[in-house]
Amino acid sequence: MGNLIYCMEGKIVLGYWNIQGLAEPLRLLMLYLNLGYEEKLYTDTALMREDKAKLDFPFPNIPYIIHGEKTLCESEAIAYYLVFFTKREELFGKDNDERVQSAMVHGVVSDIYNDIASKIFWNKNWEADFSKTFDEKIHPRLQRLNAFAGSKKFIICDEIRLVDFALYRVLWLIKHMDTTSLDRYPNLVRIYSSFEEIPEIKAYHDTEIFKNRPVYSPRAFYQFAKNY
Amino acid sequence: FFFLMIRRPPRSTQSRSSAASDVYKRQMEDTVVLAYWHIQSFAEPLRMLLEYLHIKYEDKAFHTDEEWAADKKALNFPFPNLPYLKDGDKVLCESEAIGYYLAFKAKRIDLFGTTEDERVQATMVRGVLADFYRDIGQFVWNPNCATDQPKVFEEKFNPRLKRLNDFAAGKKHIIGDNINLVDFLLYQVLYTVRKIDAKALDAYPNLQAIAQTFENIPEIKAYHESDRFKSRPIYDDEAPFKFPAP
Repeated sequence: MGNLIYCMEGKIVLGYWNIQGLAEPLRLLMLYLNLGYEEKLYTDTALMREDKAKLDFPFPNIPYIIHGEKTLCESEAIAYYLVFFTKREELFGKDNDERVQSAMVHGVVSDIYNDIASKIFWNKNWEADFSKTFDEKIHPRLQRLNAFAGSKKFIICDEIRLVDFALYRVLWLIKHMDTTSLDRYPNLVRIYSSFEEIPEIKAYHDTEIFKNRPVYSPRAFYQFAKNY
Repeated sequence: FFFLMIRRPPRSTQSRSSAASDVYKRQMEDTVVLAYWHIQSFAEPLRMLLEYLHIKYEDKAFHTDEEWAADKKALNFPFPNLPYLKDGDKVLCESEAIGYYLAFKAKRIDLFGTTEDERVQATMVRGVLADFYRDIGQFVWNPNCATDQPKVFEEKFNPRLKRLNDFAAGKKHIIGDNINLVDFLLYQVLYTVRKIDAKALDAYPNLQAIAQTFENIPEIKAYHESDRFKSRPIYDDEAPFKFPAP
């Protein structure tokens, strides 16, 4: 079943395509939380649909997790569940102000991700729209995020918060679509490095499983280069 | 002689003038500003939330890009966007963040969920509704919405409504007995879908019941009877889908 450390017998099963996609932030979170998990990796749509039906979710989708009797879809909800389960509620924010700021940053990061997905990944004419999307949709928001970050170690404060996982994901995608695009945002570069230095994240990024896993759907119009 | 001396109040006491202009000024200082375009759309759940929480607010509505540009320049936004909320010196964007802020301000953390499980369920429903709301937006701005309507209902709206209806079975509000922030989002989705097609919820009695319960909340009912609500379009006039006149 592959590398023992990252596909070990555990109480949590994560079901998703064999790509990074929407599951990647959850993988990083579970590693950070030192949660053992098993991956159910789909390459076959029919099999995935069969499982979805068997598991009887109220809102069937992937990624999903199974944890003992519990089954859950929706990546945000899964993240919340993992935080509660490991009693790491400070990841939401240590006070109401941090929780509100986290929600705000999460909204901005989600808007960036939705624009990348709709205007590049799933856009037949992505080549023609690539620069425009970066100039009009991505860079202005990165600039604001950079200013908001200031000298903090992570985006909300000097400690990691849940929203850092979503932010890192989006920064990673942007950096691997345009290698120099983050260079003008030193605060975001610092946060990106801080995140990658987390031991569990660093170790994961050295594995063959990570290096061989495609970034996104093979059906998307935009395809990532393999060398990461 | 001393007994006749009028004792003046200590200087630290505020002199609360009852002049109308000063009363108005104090009221405005206690008031938050919710700014958005002059339509329902993303701001409407927040307007309903403000009404429900009895938070005084100025319902600032932009009709032109210039009006919004003026505010963008004048206020200190970390991330300029609409809707925004201004509370004293604080300016906040992103509708989810604004919803959290208002729930904290009103000391209603029960609105996030009264147990961990409710909070997880609410987060799940929020994700589902975000996708649904995106589909509605795409439909309303689709130049072929009239011809595509039956297909959109069949392929996008009805499957979501069915799942939500099943999830809602036996519940007073979408999470359970306790009203949740996501009820405000859900109501706006159900309201909008029913305005697209008056029969849209006929097959989903649990959702009809939840919408009815929500509409009967006194603060929501009063807001829906106001001219301010009645005169507000759901989406821009330029959108290809023409909603019935408010």
